[in-house]
Amino acid sequence: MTKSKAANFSQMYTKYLNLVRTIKALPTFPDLDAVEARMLNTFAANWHEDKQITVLEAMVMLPEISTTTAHRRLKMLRKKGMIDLSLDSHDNRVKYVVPTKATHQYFAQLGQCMEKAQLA
Amino acid sequence: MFFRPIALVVVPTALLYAALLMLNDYLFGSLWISPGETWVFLPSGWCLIAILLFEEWGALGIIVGSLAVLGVQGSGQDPLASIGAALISGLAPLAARQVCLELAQIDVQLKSLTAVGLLRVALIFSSLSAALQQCWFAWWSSAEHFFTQLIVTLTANMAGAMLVLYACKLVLHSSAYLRKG
Repeated sequence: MTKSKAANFSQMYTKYLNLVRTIKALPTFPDLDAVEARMLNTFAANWHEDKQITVLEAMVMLPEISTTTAHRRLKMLRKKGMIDLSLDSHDNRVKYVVPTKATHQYFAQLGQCMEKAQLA
Repeated sequence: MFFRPIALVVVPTALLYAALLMLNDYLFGSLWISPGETWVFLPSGWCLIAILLFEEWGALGIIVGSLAVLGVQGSGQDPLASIGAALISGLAPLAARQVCLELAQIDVQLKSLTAVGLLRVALIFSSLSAALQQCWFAWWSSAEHFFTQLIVTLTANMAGAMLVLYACKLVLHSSAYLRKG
C-alpha cells in the first residue's frame, strides 16, 4: 500500500472514530434545567440512605424555591419520566416520590462522566 | 487504483442507500403526501453519514444508489426530472458539507464535531437538500405548492436523519453493553 493510500485510509478511520464519538454523545435524556437537576440530586441523597420522600417533603426540600414552583417541577420531572409517585400502603393520601429506571440511568451516566473526568 | 474506492465505498454506500429507500417505502408508505413524498425519509440520515465519512465517493455512492432504485422501480414522474433529482440527492449533501465546513465550524477530520454540532449539521444537510430538490422540480415542471413541498421535504429529511443517527446510537450503546457482559 502506498503512503498516500495509507494516509487516506487513516484519515477515513479517524473521521469514523470522531463520528462514532459524536453519535454516542447525542442527547438521550430529557433536558433537565438547573432546578430540576438540583431537586433530583437532593432526592438522590435521601434515596441512597433508603429514606422515603413524601410529595409534601419533596416540595419543601429546597428552601430557596417556593412550594408552588417545587410542585410544578415535580410534575415536570414526572412528565419526563425521571420520578414516579407511589401510594403509601396504609394511607392512600400519602404519596412517595420514587426513582424510575431513567433516574438510575441518569445517575449511572453522571457517574461514568465523573470517572472519565478523573481519569483524564 | 480507481477500483478500490468503488469497491470499498461507492458500492456499499449505494447498496445501503437503496436498501434504506426501499425500507422507507415499506415503513412509511402510509405517510405519503404524494408519490415519492413522505413525512419521513430515512436515506437522508445515511447521506449525512456517508458524506461526512466518504465525501465525494459517498456522494457518488448515493447517486448510484438513487439511480439504481430508479432503474428498478421506475418513477411516476418525468424520467429526466427523476435523474436530476437523483444527481441532486448526492450533490446537495456534498454542497451542504462545504457549507458546514465554512459556517458550522466543523473540521475535515470531524475532530471538533460535538453532538449539538452534529444536529446542526443534520439541519443544514436537510435544508439544503430539500431546497435544491424543490428548486429542481420547480424549474423542471411546476412551482405550484413549492413552499408546502419544501417544508414536507425538509421535515422528512430531518426526521429521517434523526431516526438513523439515533438508531446508530442505539446500536453502539447495545454493542458496548453486550461487550461488557
